[in-house]
Amino acid sequence: MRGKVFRKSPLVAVAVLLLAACGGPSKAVAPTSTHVKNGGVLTIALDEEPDALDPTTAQTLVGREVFANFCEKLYDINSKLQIVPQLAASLPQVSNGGLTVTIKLRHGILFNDGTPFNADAVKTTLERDLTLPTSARKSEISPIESVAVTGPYTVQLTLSHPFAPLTAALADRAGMIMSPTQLQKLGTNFASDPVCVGPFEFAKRIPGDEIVLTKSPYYYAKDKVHLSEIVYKFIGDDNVRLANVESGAVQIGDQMAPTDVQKIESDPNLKLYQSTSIGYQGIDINIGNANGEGKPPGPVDNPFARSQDLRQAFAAAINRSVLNKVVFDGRFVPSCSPIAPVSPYYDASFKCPPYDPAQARKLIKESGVATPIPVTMLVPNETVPLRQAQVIQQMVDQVGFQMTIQSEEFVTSLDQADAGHYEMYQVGWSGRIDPDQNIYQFWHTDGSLNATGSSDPQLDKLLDEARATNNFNQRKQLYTQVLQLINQQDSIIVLYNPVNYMAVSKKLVGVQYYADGIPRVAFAGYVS
Amino acid sequence: MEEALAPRRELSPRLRQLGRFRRRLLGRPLAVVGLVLVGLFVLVAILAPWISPYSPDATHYGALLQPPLSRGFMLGTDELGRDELTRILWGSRVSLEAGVFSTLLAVAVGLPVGLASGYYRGWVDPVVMRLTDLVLAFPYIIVAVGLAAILGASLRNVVIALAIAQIPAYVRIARGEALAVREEDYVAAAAVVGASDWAILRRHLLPNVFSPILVQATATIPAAILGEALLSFLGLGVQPPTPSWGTMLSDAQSYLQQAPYLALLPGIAIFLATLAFNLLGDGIRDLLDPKGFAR
Amino acid sequence: MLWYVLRRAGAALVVVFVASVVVFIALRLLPGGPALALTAESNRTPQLIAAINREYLLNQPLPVQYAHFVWQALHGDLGTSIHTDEPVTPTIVSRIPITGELAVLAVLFGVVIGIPTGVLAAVYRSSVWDYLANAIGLFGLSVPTFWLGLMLILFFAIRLGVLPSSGYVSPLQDLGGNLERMVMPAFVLGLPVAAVVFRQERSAMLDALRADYVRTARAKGLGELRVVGVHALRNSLMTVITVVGLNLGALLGGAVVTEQIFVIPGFGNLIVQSIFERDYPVVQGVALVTAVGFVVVNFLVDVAYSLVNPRIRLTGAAE
Repeated sequence: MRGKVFRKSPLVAVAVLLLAACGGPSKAVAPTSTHVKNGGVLTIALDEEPDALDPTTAQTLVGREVFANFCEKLYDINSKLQIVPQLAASLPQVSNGGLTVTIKLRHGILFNDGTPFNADAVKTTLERDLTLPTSARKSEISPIESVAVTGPYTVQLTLSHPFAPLTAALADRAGMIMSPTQLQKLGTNFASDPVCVGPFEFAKRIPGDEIVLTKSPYYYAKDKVHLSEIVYKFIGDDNVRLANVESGAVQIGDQMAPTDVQKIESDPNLKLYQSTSIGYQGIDINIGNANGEGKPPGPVDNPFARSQDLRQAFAAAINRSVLNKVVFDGRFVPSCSPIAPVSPYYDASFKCPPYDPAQARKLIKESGVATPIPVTMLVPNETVPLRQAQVIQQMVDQVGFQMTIQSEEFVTSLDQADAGHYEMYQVGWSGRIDPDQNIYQFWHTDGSLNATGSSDPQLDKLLDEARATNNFNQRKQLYTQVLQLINQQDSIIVLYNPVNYMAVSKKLVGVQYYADGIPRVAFAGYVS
Repeated sequence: MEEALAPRRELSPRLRQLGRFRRRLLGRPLAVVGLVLVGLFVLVAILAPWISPYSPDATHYGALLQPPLSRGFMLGTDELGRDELTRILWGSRVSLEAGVFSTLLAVAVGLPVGLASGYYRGWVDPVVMRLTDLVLAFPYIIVAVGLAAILGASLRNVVIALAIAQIPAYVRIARGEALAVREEDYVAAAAVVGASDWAILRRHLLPNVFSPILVQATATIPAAILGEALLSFLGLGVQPPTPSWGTMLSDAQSYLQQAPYLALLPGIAIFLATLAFNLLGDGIRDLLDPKGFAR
Repeated sequence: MLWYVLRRAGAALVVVFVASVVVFIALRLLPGGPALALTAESNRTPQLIAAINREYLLNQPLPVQYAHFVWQALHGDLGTSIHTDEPVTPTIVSRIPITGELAVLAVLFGVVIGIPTGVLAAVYRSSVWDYLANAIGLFGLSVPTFWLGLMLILFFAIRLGVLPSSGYVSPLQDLGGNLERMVMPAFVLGLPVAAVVFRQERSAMLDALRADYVRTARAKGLGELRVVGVHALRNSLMTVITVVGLNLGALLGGAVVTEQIFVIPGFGNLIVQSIFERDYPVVQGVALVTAVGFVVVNFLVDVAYSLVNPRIRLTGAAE
């Protein structure tokens, strides 16, 4: 997600950091069926209300958390962020110079309405994703030119050009296959009663209150499913979410504030799960958004757009680890990379430009701009982003930037940034599995979310190349070059990767929590 | 010519009146407390830069969330290690500015519009009245929040939003007085004698409207102080790092458990400021408006 | 009488109409539209934004959009939420009892506290009682309610742990749990009501005690309790009803804030959330229902007015 990674999240006073200690059980505890009883209702507190539960049009991160337990995908990820087959029988076979992708499906799987899952269903879903006007998936799988059923359980996709991020897209919402019967019945109202393949099926939704899923009688591995019902509650306030987990009213609290971590750890009834997010937070600098997002970049009138030195100076003036310590109790991961360190595509030898105020002052001098250099930063008017902006304001003041904070309500700020009416904008991205989906839109000249007006032929070339090849090592190498380049260009100064924290009742076992921050509870259950 | 007609001695009874008013006000202990608190509040707001121990933005990363009475920080520090006492003192400025300026602005707009509307009637009057009805149809806070959201967050816009929410009350008061005075014999007589509208306005309307406006102001200033605090609390007030009591409260919300004093102190400040004006207001209202409620 | 009711109904219709137009326009003055808010977290393209706008008729001219909204509303359909794609009418209907309960409890609290203290303060004028009650009344007027809410949570929920900090349970599901959660919000919302009612009641009572008919009653040898309880109290109730009616707007405004602090899924929460999401149909629906409710309650206040004091006929209260 662009933006709202923060909510009003508190921070613990103690500056001493127990990162090692809170290493906790971040991996799944394998449930042994002797200890887990069947039945029981699991209540999960989400921090936001999901949008419509239609995989084709769904937009929000929090929606993915609900889909995960009732809408399986062609592919999924594992704890190491590797893509593994879920409804597909194996990883896709790419041939014909990357233009043909063949997907073999698993046999004997039923949708939650009892109808069979097969190649026709996959074709129906993908074609819907490609053609429905309000499809949010189109941009993720747009290189697909046609979908052919070449056997009852084989689908062949023809692409207009090689597109490496495709598999990752099919491991996200574009890969959620919907029951063609239900689609036929409900059409664009699919979200009113969505039917997919999954351990649970959609039961009901009360807007503003809850979404209820019940155990599916059709699921292919239903004997491994223990819970009878999952209830998702929407509780936006961090304190209240915590209070509800503590009291036992809910068994899983999602997206807990880093400041509440200590409290969760000390609670004898709770277990802390954590995973470094694949998302990132940073500062957009308007270097060429002259005409609004989606239009070609042009010259903009601000010293940061003209001078790369000045941008580098700004970046060098920010002490990321102090920022992390003060605002997030040291529980996030200071970083300059839109590819999180947990990603297999992240090159561990890559080094971020260091915090170096002397270098910053030198760069400012070389830029020839007289200090103090005024700059306005647009910030969403939520507590944590504002807190962060004030810390940065103090840091950059030391080297000669006179920063003004302009806080606006979130959607207003997004609107201004899209229109190019800003100098700097503090914003983030929730992250996707494939590195392309975390970089291309923001840094490529043609990127759909290129709000900075970034336009660097060398960067564009690298990003295009990395899209076109399916060779993992080659891609990893290309992305390492990309990381170096974006830290010179500094159209977006990445500050850190957040860490997902989840509080789980100790009575519950079998919960899986990966870097995508989605609580997977399909096979979870209560200890007997 | 009008000046010649104006009896000079009219000034002195009014001065005498004022003196009596002051004595009577000082005879009420609660009003005196209010007056002293308001004076203190204004004094703190003016002197904040000189009496604060630190700069309001100065951060001490080595001393985050220090409780009150810690070394060097009498009221402790906030989540960025800023001195709480300094920020409370500075916060009085935003509070006072929002309270007083929004009321001044509302009077500046509402008074002439109301007087003109009531005095001239015609087609203007119904239009003005329906407009005020419209603003009054929405809760005060909703109007202010809505306007602040549309205008964008800044102290200036907070003042404008709060002023617009207050204007209808002043329009109504001024209009009511104008309507009443218009019908008075001596005004009609003055008009017959050839006194200009301006002279009638100045000599007969303004003095009459002064009391109710003052009474109303003692109600809107504290309401606007609360309004600013609420808007800032909701993130629609002044821009950080400018200290505002409402913003401080909103920041403190995430530290209710670790640092409750961060929520306690700005709240007390808002309460005292509002209370001060309410106490003073009660006193003034009693004297000027014997038909008022709080007798 | 009929003429009066018709006129009232006409005026009410105008108020509802104008309020809905104002909300309709004000929403569209907010920067960023529903499509941007909906796609804030995703890989949006201008084509996708345009498609969403088409889907919800947001590409139509404003008068057409408004006419469509009114036409639907007249059929009891307030449209579809852009954020959740769920119908708006049932969503709103499910929230009415929640905010309704909060408001009723708050007014109840205000009246139960405000009237007796007001009467006592007036009867025992200038006593310790009077000063104490006055001080509490001033406290109620001066304390920022959102701060008071935080302090109550801090003390009763976090420190003492005797009350749940927030949330909502339906009284049909768990009456005890419902009341436990409603105590603090109703107190916070009711305190300013109590303060205003107290001040009004006190001054109205003072007036009444001086009035001729009370003197007559006293002269007739009626007991003091009866004088105060029946004659004076009934007369002063009228003022209180007016005050509650006049403060209904403030009450609703306060409910918005209170619901935010105590995370109560009522009207206020719905409207705030929907404004952040630029969910036009929901905000318009809530505004319309609120405006109608407002008008209806004001009418009821007038009726109550005439019941408490039969000397004033409805015709007299027309302006």
